[in-house]
Amino acid sequence: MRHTNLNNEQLMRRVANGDAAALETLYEQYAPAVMGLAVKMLGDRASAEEVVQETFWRVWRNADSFCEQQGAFPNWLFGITRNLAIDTWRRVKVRPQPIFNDKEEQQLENNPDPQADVTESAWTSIKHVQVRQALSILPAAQREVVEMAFFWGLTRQEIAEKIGVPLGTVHTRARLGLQKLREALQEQGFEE
Amino acid sequence: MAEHLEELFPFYALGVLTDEEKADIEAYVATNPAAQAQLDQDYQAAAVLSYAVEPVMPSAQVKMAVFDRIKAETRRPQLRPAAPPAVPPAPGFFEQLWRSLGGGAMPALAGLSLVVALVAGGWAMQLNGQMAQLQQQNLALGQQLTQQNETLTSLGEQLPPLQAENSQLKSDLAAQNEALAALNEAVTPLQTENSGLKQELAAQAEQLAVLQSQMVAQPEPENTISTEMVAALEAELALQREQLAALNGQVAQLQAVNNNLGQELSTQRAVMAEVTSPDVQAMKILGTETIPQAQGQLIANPGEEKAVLIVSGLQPLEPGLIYQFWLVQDGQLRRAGEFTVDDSGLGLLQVTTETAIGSYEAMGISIEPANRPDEPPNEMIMLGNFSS
Repeated sequence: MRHTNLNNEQLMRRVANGDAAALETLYEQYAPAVMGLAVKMLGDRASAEEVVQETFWRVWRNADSFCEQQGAFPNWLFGITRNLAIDTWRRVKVRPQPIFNDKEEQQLENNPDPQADVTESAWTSIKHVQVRQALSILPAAQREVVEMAFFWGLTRQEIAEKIGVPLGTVHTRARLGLQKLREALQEQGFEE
Repeated sequence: MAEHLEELFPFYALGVLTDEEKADIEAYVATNPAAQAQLDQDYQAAAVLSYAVEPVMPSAQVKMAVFDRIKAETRRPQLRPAAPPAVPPAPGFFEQLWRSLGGGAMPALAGLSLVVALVAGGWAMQLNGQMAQLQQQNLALGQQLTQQNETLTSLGEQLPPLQAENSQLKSDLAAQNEALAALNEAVTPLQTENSGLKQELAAQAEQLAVLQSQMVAQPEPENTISTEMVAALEAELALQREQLAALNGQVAQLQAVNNNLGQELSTQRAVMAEVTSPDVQAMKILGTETIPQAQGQLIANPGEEKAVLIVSGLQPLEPGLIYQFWLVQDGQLRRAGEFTVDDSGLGLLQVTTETAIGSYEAMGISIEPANRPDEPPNEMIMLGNFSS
């Protein structure tokens, strides 16, 4: 039985009590976003699907450790996904080229899930557009540092070496990039 | 140290610090609420980056794998103590039937099996039909959902520009409100000044009204000048005007005479300068039989291109006629100037020639119509020879 009338935190409490239907509801809502993040970071559909599977397995196993006071559920979920994706490419020792081209992403199978919650899907789409637009406002140098860290998992030293600038410059770009991103989202009325 | 740690906040939020660095930051913010707030802001900004990716649908096998794994785990309750205890399943209908039959009446069971098989076959067909209908409904709902997702995605794309436009309109409105407030501030002193001017104007109007009333109250002075006196004064004025006009005419005439005298004086001075210059010669020109009393002289330096003609004994001419002076060169007559004479019969002409006076052979004077220079000359009334 699906729990479409419950919010994320209520669902997570049920998951922590062993309610697989609650996890299924969360899966149907967030699996496309998790898959999109994994595809972007790994550039490979098969590896991305392994990450999706492992992500939701860890949600199931570690639901007790989720604490809503520490942040929203999506942030916790995407954090698991990012860590798994970073572990994946570290394991294979070959850093994939993340996909930053929308057209390439769209070439992947992207059929909507007929069981997905329409309202949630719409909000996810709106957030997607808002964040993309906010990112597009950032100066290219700042956006580059932020994306290299977030999507590639590069350390600040690795970023400095890769783009050939002092470490202090990388710090400044990351700070300004996040600051401008936050301001741009506030102007758009972004709601997490 | 604190500054160095705060520089690392964005990378903490982006999840790319070492465990040691993360531990340092967590210890630092634990005792510093402002730093904790800054870190939270960076964390929230970084977290939304996950929404930047395009959603991609994983294959159905992924979901199956996840939930198969969960089912497998729930069969081992020791792995998840929080899961509800498993309840033994109730015996099914066929099992209960089998038990009620004691499991030994084989012939009856065979007949019963045939009945059950027929019923089950019909039931299966019915279920298949319902399943096909449900699948069709599911497909239709899926298509409808796809369309709704597309619509909502489109609406989502329209939202940011509308929000941006809304923000712009708000800022425009704020600017207009500020401008309005500034205008209001500027209007207040103008209103004060306007009020003062109105008061001043009202005071002046009152003064004017008082003056007008005083003027109305004063009696008009009696008219002591008679009509006859006015007529006499007007007649005198007219007479004086006529006299003034006559005087003006005389003045104009005198000015004209004065101008002529001035020109004559200037000519005579030029003539005197010519006549008194050294190396001048005087060549006689005499009247023909028509006017034997006429005589004159051409005074010139033969090497120069100018001369002065002085004649006397000529009659003043009627209007439209002039005396034409001619010079003869290589047997050809060449116009050399025209002149009139005064009442005493004296005439004077300053002559300017193209070549030196010495290059001419003779000279003559005829009477010609004025302003007709191209017509052949009339009879000469005076003649002179340079060789003489």
